[in-house]
Amino acid sequence: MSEIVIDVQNVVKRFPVGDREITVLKGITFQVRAGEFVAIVGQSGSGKSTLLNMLTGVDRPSSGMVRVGQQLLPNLSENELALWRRHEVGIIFQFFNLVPGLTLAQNVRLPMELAGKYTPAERSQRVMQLLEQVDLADRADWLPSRVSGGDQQRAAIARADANQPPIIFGDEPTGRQDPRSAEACFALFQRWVAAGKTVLLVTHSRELAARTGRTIEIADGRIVRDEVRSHA
Amino acid sequence: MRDVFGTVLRYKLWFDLWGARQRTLQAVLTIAIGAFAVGTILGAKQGVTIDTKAAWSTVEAPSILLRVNPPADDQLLEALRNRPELLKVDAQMEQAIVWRPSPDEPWQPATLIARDDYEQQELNLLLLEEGEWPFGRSVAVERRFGVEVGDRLELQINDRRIEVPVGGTIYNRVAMAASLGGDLVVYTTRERFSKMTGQTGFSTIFAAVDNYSFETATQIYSKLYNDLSEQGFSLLPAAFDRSPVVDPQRAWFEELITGIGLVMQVVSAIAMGLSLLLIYTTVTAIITQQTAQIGELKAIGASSRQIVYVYLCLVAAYGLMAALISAPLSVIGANLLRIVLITRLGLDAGPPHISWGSLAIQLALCIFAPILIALFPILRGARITVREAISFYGLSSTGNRIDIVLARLVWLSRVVSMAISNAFRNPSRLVLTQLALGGAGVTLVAVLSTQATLYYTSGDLMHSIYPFEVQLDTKRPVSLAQLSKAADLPGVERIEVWQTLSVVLETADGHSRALQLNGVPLPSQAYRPQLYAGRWLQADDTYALTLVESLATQLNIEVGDKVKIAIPSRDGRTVWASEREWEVVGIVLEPYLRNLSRFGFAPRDTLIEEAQFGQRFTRVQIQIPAATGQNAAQIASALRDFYDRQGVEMYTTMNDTVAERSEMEASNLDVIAMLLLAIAVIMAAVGGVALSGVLQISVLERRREIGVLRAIGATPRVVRSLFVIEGLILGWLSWLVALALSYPVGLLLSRMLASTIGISIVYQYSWGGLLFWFVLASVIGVCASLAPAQRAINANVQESLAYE
Repeated sequence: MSEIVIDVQNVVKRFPVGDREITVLKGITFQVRAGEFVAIVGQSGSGKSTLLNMLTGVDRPSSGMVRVGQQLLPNLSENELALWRRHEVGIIFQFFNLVPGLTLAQNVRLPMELAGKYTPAERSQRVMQLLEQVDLADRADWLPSRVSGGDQQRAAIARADANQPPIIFGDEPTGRQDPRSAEACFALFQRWVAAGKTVLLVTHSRELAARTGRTIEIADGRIVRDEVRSHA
Repeated sequence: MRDVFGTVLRYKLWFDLWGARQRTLQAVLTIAIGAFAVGTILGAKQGVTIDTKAAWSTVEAPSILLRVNPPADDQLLEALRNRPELLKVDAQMEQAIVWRPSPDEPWQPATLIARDDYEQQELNLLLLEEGEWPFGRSVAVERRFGVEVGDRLELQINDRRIEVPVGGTIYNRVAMAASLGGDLVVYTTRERFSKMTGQTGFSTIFAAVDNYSFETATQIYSKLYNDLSEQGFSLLPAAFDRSPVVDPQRAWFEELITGIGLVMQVVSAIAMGLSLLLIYTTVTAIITQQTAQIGELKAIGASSRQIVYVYLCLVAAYGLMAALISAPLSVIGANLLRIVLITRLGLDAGPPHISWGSLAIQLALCIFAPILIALFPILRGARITVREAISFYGLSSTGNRIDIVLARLVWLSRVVSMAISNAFRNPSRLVLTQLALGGAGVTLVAVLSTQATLYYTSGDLMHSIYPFEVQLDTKRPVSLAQLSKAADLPGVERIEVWQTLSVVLETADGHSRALQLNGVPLPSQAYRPQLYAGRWLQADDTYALTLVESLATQLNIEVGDKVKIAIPSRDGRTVWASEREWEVVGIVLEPYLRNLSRFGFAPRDTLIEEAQFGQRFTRVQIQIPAATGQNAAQIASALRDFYDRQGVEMYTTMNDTVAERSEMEASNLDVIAMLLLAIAVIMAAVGGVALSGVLQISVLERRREIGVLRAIGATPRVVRSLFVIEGLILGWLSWLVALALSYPVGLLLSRMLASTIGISIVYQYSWGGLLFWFVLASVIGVCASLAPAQRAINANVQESLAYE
């Protein structure tokens, strides 16, 4: 058995809405082992994106424990979380993806420079490799505003692996892509998993989820299904 | 810096600068306009100081100025030059005349002056500007009166009309310039002067003493006074303030320069404050707009420090560009303003000057101030959590109280309702906008109030204090009967006779000043005191004084204080005719510049008794029917002629009437008034830029919302109306701010200015200025909103919706 890299214990998240408070996550508990390919599914408003925010340190739980890798996330400051993300995780957001003033190549290169990882020559080489993997090498010097939403999302996928983090999170990472591109991206995720990375995606698509190794379904802030498949 | 320039973030910096060119231009101009104003004002101030010092340093100003009667001959001058206590002695012949450039022009007052040798001047040095020194029939004239070399002038001297050619123009730094309301000075040779006037001696004597101090100069003057009196000369002080002793280092325009400097300092401080506010508003808006990007950067591992550096570099780049634009412009602006002010004072502007000090302040304001000011919003932005940055809660907030109130006003147009909501959407930005725009409004109305105060004080107030229009001073004391004869002349309603004396006042703590004491009959019809403290003189008062406020303030004298008044003796046997204690019973406001307002009032009968003059007087106040200034001047001239025929010699002055004195005071204050007006214009411009900037940023922030509005069918007219109404609301709010604060700020500014230039004021609030700001704020509101509105209209809907 591989080690547990994501450990979520009884996580509750409440939000104030006007003078009321609503509970979005109602005691979520699960664990993910290294090398797993996990899909979190659920309907809109079920709490899956909120759960992803807890796992990436974007938000903090109202109560409960979240450990990713060796870090207990609620204990980290915002700055410590940023430094942790540099090396330990890659994130693919659904809407907010690329820095507008940087080309696709520069966007992919940025996390390496922020982390001070690789030599400049290695960075350039790696940027091109990553962009080739998502079929964007020919548009490396284009600004995000010149490419489609799907292309931007693929560049964000390439960027997520810039520093070769052991864990990658994605929020609807193929939601804005055509079927062929989506398929290519899914194949990339599978290669990452095969290489030993842990990949956790939030998605609406049950079809996509069915092709991962494990599906955790959330409804009304609770896990209603946690299914592990052997084919992934 | 490696965090930015050592990474691809330098491309983001470039993109933020060049990709958002309009925003960059807005931010750069915002910083540049404030820095330009500060650099121009401070640079001009330093330039004016340098130029005035340079002009005065070579004047060889005397410390003792005397008018002697009968005029001094060469023998007397030689005797004075041999006195060891006098370092240098010089003299000039003087007579009041009238002149006109051609027979069809009106006569104007002038002074005819002659020096013994124009090439060998010792004191109060005259400079030849153009042409030649006076020779033969050819005269020279004071420059900048519109008289050129080669012109011919018609002079009237003692009823004789003489036509003279002009052979030169002269730069006299001691004479009041044409631009300040001075009168023409005509220079001729000693021989020609004698031929034209019949006068052979020198009526004005200048003397310099070694190591000037007021005390030593006064002692030397007293000795001189006694010695010359014994020789049968009558002496009168000839300095600007009618005192015999003046500080040679202190130019006659010193107080004006100080006043101008104060106004400039106040305004540069205001401009600096407004500029910093604008910078803060702009940077806050940029950070707000880039919140999502900050979230993205943090999500991929950027630390707060790295994000802070990115935005500090952006602000530093704005500052650097602003410095490059504003520094050369402010050097030009400072030199232009310096030349205008120096020329207005009648002096020569020096060569172009760069004030490195003000440039350094300007560069600091451009580069470091924005960084320091921006640090707060940048740190706040960098601290934002990823969730706060990338959370998407829809197009607008859940609604504040104003929105709830507006929702209830069903009769209100939705466009107006939305514009009001937008104006109040961001309370902290609203406050900052009002600090800038409202601040501009407050400054503008305060400045116009100060200007109104200066004009009121030198105009209406002077007429109210001196209801008798004409005032003439005799050269020697004259009997009441002789002076009163003029009462029978046509056009003369009433006459009041005063005694005026040059005395020395000494306070209990040993400070002394020469001043003019006016002995007035009680009750006086010709003087309506504007009391500052205490009371006016009463009929039964004897050794009671009232002093003008500026003098009382200088000497720290209060009502109830006892002071010693020493009245010089006229018989030459003793120095003082009287030395005794008088009580200060009141302090009055006088609408004169300090250097003309060292005087006080005392009961006439007591003063005559102490001066041992007998019933003889030196000033006549004449009431005439309400008349225009020109009529009054004609009546004054007729009165002079009348007294001349009676054998009563009057002092030469170009300000016989209250209207003339009022005009001269107003001219003196014109430089400051002009400066205040220029400042008002700058403030309005800064306010306009501030509002325009806020609305530009408002467009950027609400581009997505505008896209939605247009997507659901809002016409360009509706979008334009939204912004124009918002601009008007912000403009009108600034008017309310001005309404609330301009009165006290104007009062403070007027008092500071009055105290610096040495005048007393009666504050006048400028209601016209407040109305003007309402109109201007409305115009600014509309104009500043049109460009942003057009930008919003021009953006296509898809771009607006996709805008991030």
